Amino acid sequence: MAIAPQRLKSSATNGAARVNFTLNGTPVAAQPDETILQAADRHGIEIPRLCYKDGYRPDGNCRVCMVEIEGERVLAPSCCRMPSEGMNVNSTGERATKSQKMVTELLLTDMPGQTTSPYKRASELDVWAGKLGVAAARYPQREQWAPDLSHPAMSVNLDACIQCGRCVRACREEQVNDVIGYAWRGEHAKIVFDFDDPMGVSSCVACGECVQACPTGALAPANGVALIEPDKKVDSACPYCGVGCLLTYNIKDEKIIYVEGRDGPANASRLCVKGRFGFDYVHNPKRLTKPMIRKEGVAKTSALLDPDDMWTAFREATWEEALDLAGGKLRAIREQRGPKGLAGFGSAKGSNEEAYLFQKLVRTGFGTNNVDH
Amino acid sequence: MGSGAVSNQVEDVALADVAIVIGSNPTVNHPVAATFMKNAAKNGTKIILMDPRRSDLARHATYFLQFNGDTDVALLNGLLHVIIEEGLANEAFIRDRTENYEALRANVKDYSPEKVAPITGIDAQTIREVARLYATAKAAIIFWGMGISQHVHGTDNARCLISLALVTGQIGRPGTGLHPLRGQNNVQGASDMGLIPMMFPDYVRVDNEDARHKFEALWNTKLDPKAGLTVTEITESAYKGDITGMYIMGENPAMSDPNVEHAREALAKLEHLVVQDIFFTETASYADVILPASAFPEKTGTFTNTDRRVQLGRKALDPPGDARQDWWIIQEIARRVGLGWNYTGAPDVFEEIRRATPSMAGITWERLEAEGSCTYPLEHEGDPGEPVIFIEDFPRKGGRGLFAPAAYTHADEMPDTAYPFIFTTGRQLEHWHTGSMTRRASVLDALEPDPVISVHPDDLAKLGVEAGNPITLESRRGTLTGYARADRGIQRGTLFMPFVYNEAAANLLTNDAIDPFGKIPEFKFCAVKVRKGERVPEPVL
Ligand code: SF4
Ligand code: FES
Repeated sequence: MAIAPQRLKSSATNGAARVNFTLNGTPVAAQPDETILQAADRHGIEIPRLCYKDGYRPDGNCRVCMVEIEGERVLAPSCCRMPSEGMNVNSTGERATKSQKMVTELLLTDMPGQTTSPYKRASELDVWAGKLGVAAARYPQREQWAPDLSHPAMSVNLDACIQCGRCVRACREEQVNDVIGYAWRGEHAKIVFDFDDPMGVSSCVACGECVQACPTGALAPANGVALIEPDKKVDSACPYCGVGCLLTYNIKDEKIIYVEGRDGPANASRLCVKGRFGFDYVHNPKRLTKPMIRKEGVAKTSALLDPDDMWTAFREATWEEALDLAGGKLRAIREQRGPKGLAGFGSAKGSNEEAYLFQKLVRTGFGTNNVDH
Repeated sequence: MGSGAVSNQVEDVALADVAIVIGSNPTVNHPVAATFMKNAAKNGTKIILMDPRRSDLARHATYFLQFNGDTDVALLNGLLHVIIEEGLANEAFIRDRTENYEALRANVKDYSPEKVAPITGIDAQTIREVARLYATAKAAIIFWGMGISQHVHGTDNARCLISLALVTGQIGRPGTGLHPLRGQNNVQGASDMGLIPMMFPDYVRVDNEDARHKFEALWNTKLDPKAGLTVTEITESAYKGDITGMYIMGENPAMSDPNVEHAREALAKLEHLVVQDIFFTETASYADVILPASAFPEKTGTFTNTDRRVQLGRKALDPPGDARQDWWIIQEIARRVGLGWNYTGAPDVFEEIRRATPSMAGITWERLEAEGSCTYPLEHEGDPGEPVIFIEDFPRKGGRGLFAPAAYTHADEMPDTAYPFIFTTGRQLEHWHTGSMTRRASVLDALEPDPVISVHPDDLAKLGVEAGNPITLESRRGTLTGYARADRGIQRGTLFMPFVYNEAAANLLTNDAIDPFGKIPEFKFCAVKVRKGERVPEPVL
């Protein structure tokens, strides 16, 4: 099967005819490459789903998305069934709902404590269980896996795994790192890293796509941060490389608690280890928080100064004093030695606005083109 | 070719039948871009990876050419030779859209695959097959990285790649073209904005008189008609005592410059150094005034990615303590050198950028807020933006693409009996650039805490050192000690090291020779000797 075909630029969908069918009594027009579930989403009709994730290849293994199709003997999984012209589909009738509820209940049965996920707030399973009105389970639980906390960035708690395989597709088909696999069969079936190694010693590159894909929190960012409700979410971009991934910062008490990939044109919700897990430098206690001026009489040598000793060479200053000294002396050098005595390095990490202002300052204020990054 | 940006976007790899990836380790340096290359490979795009170091992408490549370091021009001229000799050149494209073809053809005559095979270490048959594959593909794209640029012949390397695209007409259509992968998140934007000594915003040369008058009018001042100095030239000038005052914002030359001990001496000589940063970086050691700035999530602004996409970063946090917004600090300095600036924030500055940069004139702040991302050229409000450029012509006088023949030359410093190993530098997945951010990010530092040097296991065996133990490297410029990591992907006789660790700064060893055209230093090649090491020093963080 082709991987993520929806990412390929294609004009094929524009010209081809739409498919008209009826969903829960409402007429619906599907794009030619849309499944019943996708068409339903576009029309604001909710069908439960767990193994399906937008943008990923539908796998059709969980069977929580079952719908009734008029004239067909058995229910159909709407996430991988294409509608056909004139089809009459029902997702909320008695048969469909009963099946959806049954699947949800069986999955809940295997959750730790047979209740809401202890690893993720509002997990997808919990949300659907809530919507379908499925609560305590009536069946005995399967054997449970021990937690794997070997990785500094992610925790693995397979007792909450519903084996939807989203992490496998995340790792193999989206990011193509080929670390996660499905091992064993039947009730022993298990998500494994490499040859069933602990995640922290496996060949995992920590892109975190699996964490973002997991609907229950069985794979989650480390230290239980997925359980915290953020105060706010801010849509932004990654500060590291030129790929330009878009992301969302989740903020609690003025701290970034975790980062999620956002559907940007250059990243399609994907991130790498730096973008997803490399954010807490912002909260590092060694951040500079005060303007500083070199102490009188402290000579400069080529030796590096340990940041822990910075106050031996520098003293705290007010903004006014620091800016007056910084700018005043640059001005004095320009006046005494001419523009050639000055230069500036702006940053390839700063914004366009900062880069623009910086070069304009050097060109019009210093009077030279000695500006680079 | 008259442009500073990519012709096609990364996602075009999905539309390409063939993709050459050269001098780049995208799974490490551009990890998410690499995922799209891997997706494409699974869908049938044939990847041709060319690099002296075997990287993870090799697993997905149809051809992997592990050529000898520093022989790029020989290899690429060999490909051009085959294409022309076997009649695979796109005659119509050459006739209608290029100039100086005869010179190219004469130049590559000497580079038969049989002749370049012993130089590059790639057999003639493979060179022929790869040349045919690229030339006859319906659509073929070329991606490259710093492995192409960071050589004294970096410009020549790039010229050969441009020639490949021109000679075959693999440019100007979806799924074709040339894509130099941009390193830092806004290195594209910094260049677009004129943060380079020879160009004003939008790549207008400072010595172009008409254009200069335009900027003089916009900025209401006289401007210097002579190109300024580049990073390495500025360092040299400071060392000599000609430049005595500097303002450095968010860069760390005391780690990132080649031959970094020399650069540190130069910084120490400055009479007045203003450093604006979020941490006490290595460069801050030499400052007179340090201004505490804001980190990425603490500010709002636009950033331009490798694809020419202008994207919005939004403020999520307040800067800590008394730290301030960078644009505000620049403006306060500007006021103190005598400029009457009065900007109110990023959107205000962006309005002026639109006036200074015609190719971005149609992008509005409102649209960025709504869409998050716009591709330039986007000259008029409401335009969709142009993901593919050079469809009809090239941005040169006359509109034709210029063939610039290149001759194979050596690195500035070749290995010899005293310094027999080749030393090359780059990045690793978990860390970024000089490490001022990533080494202070707890997860990343936990994953890669120590300075590692990649060595072929056979070389390690010869040294009598087991992987994981210290080795000491020495070049004509400096010495460092790091931990040896066995790596079968590296060629025997070559050592690789990321430049992120201040306890073992790779740039103590590197050569500050620069490419005479691109002015980029030769980070990718110098000569060193190796011995069993003693102790790896503690990092200074
Ligand atoms: S998430 Fe990774 S690939 Fe994406 S921009 Fe950031 S560093 Fe680059
Ligand atoms: S969502 Fe359709 S089978 Fe799982």
